[in-house]
Amino acid sequence: MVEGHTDWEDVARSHGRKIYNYAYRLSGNPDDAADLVQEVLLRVRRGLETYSTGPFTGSFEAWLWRITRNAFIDDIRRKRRRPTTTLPDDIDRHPAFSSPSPDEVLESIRLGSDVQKALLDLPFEFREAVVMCDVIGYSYEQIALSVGAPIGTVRSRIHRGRKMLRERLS
Amino acid sequence: MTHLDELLSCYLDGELSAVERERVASHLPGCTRCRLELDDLAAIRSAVRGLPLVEMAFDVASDAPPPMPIRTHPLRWVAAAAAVGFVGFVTVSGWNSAAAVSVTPAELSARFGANSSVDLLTPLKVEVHTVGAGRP
Repeated sequence: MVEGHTDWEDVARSHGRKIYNYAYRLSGNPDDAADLVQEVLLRVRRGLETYSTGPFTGSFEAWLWRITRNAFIDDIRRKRRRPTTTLPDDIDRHPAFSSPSPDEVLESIRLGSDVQKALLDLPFEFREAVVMCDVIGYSYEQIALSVGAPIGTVRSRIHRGRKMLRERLS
Repeated sequence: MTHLDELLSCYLDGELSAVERERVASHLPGCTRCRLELDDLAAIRSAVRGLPLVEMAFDVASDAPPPMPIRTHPLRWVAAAAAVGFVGFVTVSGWNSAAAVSVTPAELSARFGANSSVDLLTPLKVEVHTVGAGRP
């Protein structure tokens, strides 16, 4: 885990890289991913001014990821507010939240990666778990702390995500 | 017979407890189904790990915003960034360029992790997105 980060540039470069790859692989859209990086770093920078890094370094990365995921999910909700669709009350469990939009499908085709395409077909939780493990390179424990889920849930999501990818890629 | 299921993914990721490792070791030799599934999972895991790590074409640590919008002039930005000695993240390649190479998460950690000695001016070999290409 990240330890003792008090230097802004350190944080920005190290976490910015991870945010970008996280958002890019989860959405298939590099423009949105770049916007997300800016937004997250803005929120983090504001938060750093009041964040005490003394005894709390162990949870610092978890704090960064909480901000990152909230910003990512906020961004998805904003984008889904189009005049022609209505938002369900429980957006997290609605298929629209986890399935790619037609725009996202077109993006992934343009990227020319079957794997990226298949990733976008996964439900959000599975897609996120696989990306955190195989793109960001985190351990199961780090993933669990970053997404706020038990390790058992993380294990299951990674496994089921990979099985779904296999179905789509075979 | 119960099969290994998610223990197979844990095995590939090195996330098994000692007890679970023992269970996998004793089950696999006698189970074709699990061995085949392990091969499939390993292939998928490699495929995702093989996705190139991508870099943005600007230095996020800078207090100033990028000298020009990254969406419209990525080539000029990279030249400007190099000129003022920012982290040389990128060499520019197109969306489907065969010249794009990949950096693994492990390499990235080794290079930029807490214990690495970082040479900030040596570019990583990464794929760069010409952000904004094709945007309506």
